[in-house]
Amino acid sequence: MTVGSVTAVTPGTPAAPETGGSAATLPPGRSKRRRRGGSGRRMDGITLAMLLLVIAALTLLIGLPVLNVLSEAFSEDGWAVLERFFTSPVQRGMFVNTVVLGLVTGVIGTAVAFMLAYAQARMRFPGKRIVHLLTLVPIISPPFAVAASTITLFGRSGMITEGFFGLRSDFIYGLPGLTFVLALSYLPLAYLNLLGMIRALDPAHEEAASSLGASRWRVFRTVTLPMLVPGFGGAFLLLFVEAISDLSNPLVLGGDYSVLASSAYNAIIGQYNLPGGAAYALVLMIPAVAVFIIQRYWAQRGSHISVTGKPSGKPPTTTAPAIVLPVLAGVYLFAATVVLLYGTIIVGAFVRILGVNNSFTLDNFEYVLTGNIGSEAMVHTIRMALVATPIAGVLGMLVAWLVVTKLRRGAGLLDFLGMLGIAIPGTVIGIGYLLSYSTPTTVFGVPLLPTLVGGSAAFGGAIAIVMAFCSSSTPSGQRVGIAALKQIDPSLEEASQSLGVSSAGTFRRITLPLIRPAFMAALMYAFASAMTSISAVIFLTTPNARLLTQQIHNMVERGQFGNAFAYCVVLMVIVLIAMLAIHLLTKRMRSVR
Amino acid sequence: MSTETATPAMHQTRSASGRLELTDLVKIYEPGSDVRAVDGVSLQIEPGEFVTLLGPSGCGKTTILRTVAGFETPTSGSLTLDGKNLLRQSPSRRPVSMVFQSYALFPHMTVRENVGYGLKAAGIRTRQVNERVDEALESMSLSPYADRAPAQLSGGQQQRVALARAMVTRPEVMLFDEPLSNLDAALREHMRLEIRRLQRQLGTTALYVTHDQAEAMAMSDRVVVMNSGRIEQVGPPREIYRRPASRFVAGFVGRANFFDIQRRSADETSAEVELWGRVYTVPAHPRARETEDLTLLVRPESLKLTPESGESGPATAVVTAAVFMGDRVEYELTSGESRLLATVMDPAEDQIIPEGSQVRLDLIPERAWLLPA
Repeated sequence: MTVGSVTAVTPGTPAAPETGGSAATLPPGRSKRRRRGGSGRRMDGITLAMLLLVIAALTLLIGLPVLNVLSEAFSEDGWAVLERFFTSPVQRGMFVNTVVLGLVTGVIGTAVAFMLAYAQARMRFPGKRIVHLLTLVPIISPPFAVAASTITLFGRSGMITEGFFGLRSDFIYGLPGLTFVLALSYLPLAYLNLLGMIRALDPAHEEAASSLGASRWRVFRTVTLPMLVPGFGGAFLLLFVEAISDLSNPLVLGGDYSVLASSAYNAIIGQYNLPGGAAYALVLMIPAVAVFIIQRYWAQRGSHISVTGKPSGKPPTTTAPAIVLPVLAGVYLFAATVVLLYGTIIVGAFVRILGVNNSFTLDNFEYVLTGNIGSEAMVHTIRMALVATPIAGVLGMLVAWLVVTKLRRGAGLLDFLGMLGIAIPGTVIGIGYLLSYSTPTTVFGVPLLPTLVGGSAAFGGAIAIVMAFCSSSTPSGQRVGIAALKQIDPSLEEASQSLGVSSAGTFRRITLPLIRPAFMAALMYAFASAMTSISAVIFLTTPNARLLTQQIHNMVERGQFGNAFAYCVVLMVIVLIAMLAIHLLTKRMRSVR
Repeated sequence: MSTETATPAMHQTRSASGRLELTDLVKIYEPGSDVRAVDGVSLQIEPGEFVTLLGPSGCGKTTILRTVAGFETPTSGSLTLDGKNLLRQSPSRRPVSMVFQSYALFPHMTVRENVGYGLKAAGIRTRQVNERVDEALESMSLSPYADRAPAQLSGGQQQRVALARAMVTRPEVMLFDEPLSNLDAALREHMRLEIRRLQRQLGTTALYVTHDQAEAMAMSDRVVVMNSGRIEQVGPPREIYRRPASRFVAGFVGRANFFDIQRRSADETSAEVELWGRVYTVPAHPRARETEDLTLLVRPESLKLTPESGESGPATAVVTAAVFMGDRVEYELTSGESRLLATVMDPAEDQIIPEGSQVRLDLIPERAWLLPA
């Protein structure tokens, strides 16, 4: 600026860039999202095609099977079973058991997940990162891995209950054990949900409350907790639905605590009573869908996570010992439990019979890896999961993209339909597939799909299993996709379009790179969930399409825990390798740009 | 705020209390680093006074504000209110309330619940809370919106709710963190006056943070200009603008022309300088006597501009830009090697000098200011 001996300084220099013409900055709180993709314009061809594709996919994956479950349940044979829910105390008890299991698992799981997330987001403690990873471990393992290890440790002749305390207790069989195993197994996603929400809270709200004289406890009770209500709803729903639709844990750990999902399984696999199974499935769907709708209502009413652009201040750290000490005790206890349970799985895979004959052996792995059925199951499962992963990932992102950027009026409906996949228990999906795809699908007499289920179907029945994988992991892809897309300022896409790049080009060059981390997460989750799922696909396996989870299930039922543990270790290693591969792949894709 | 200060009886004696004193405040965010966000700031604010912290982003002004509120703990230094140590009190115990840049309205509460939040936290009875909330909403013309959610209000209305919420508890000190930066220009000017009016009415001490010099000038009893963690100057707006202590202050507050210059002679309050071959007697900073090399500050409106034909003024310049602003015309000039800014207030239509014209320049010496380089 200094030229010769004279300088001119322009007005209040530093002020200009920061205010940047305040008309352009959105007033906070009023940040009603502008819809992207132009307002009032007619839907373009690509969008319409995508929308039809998504609707067709969701219909085949979820809509049709659910409808068939409904119609089968109301058939004569199905009605005979349904009727008993009004007349027989046994059936009613089963319904009550199921709902109680869902509620207890949901409440305890949500509470523990919140404790872990709160500590992770707001407290300082040693081993924080390790605790985080330990919390996520159950994502990559099938739930009855935890059940088997729980029985080994705490069962009738458990290493801890009998071996250490000399108790021969059946306490673990039934509601307590089921709650423990299910809450622990399905808690990671609830935890991630809540962690994200706590981190997204604008600290200014809590600061404002305390500056108005509210004590720490009051701030927590009246501001922090209420703002997290949608998060609690989502976490609870997840745990509730997973708990009531799980059919394998009740079979091995339920004792005489019978629930709908395992009864549906017994009806179909044991008695080959399809209508009866459908009737159980229908009853199972009622609480799941009810909780789903209540949660949607809550989330919408409370959808006020304010996006104010510039967060003020740094997130507060909780230091009051009265809060920190008990919470950290809980956190470390949880971490220790995870280490204990998974340590048991790993050690158990390398010894003859854990707790009885602790001599080292590789027999279990030999049985799993070289045995015909074991290695076949491994190859089949990996192959089908690999096919399902990209389909589910892309489909979820596509739904998210349509919901956030393209649709106006129908957005809420499409979101609802897509997320319905979370509310429909896997058991229902599996039975629905049996009913829908055991014969060729026709529409008004026109053949649409060949037979998909059963050993004689195309690809040995693998297609139906891939579809079932997709139906369960599409919603989570959709959810992370929506979250990621909402983070993107619409003006970025508008800027690209105003620079002359078409809407498709904008999607490819701007939107896609920005949601790539979310896409990567969706892929990882889809693969892990495919590899570890059982409730839906256990109905669909054939000799040509075997599943690792089913083998583990069989081993646990037969009491061959050593083999089951070896299977679990193999499965977890496969999932970890796949996650690493996806991570490296997406990282490379980014650096290429 | 504490319960006892919330009672009306205490409120009557307000004007005597609310003296805020900051002494040698230092804030280092990263232990071991020598980056000082706040670097030895001392400041005394009188009861009922409106003081603004003005400076570029990162100058430490927000850190000071948040320290007073209790959201930051200073590395060293003291902070007292009416002689009582504030640093020992948690944010919720301090009789201080803050208005946030993002307003931080609780999205899950209605307007009424938002405004009543602090009163309820102080344990005041519901009936009394309602009365005081109604009164506050009334005075802010917010009564019709009492039962709406914050998201249903416009930006200006949200701003008023935030103000009402902070004021209704009658704090000793109000803190403002750039509260107007999200409003459009017209509303912002209106709200400046509104905030000032309310603050005077309540007699509350106010500490206000902004990077907008016009806002600081319009609202403050005193302005504190800050730069990289230190105070550059404290004074009433007029003094900051007319008698800046440094080139930084002069450049940050308003527009300025600087001339590197040598003085001929100087006494306590004025000096003789030579510019454009002419000798001017100008007011001078006391420290102008200490050195020979000085800077002469001439605000654009203190430059006299006449068309070439007028033949008055010792220097010549060429108009490189003329911007008509309605109440004034802003000129950019080139004189020799240097660029200058000049402002002519309320010009007649035919007196606007077109770009490219030659003009003659002079300055109004009593409006200039000589400061140490």
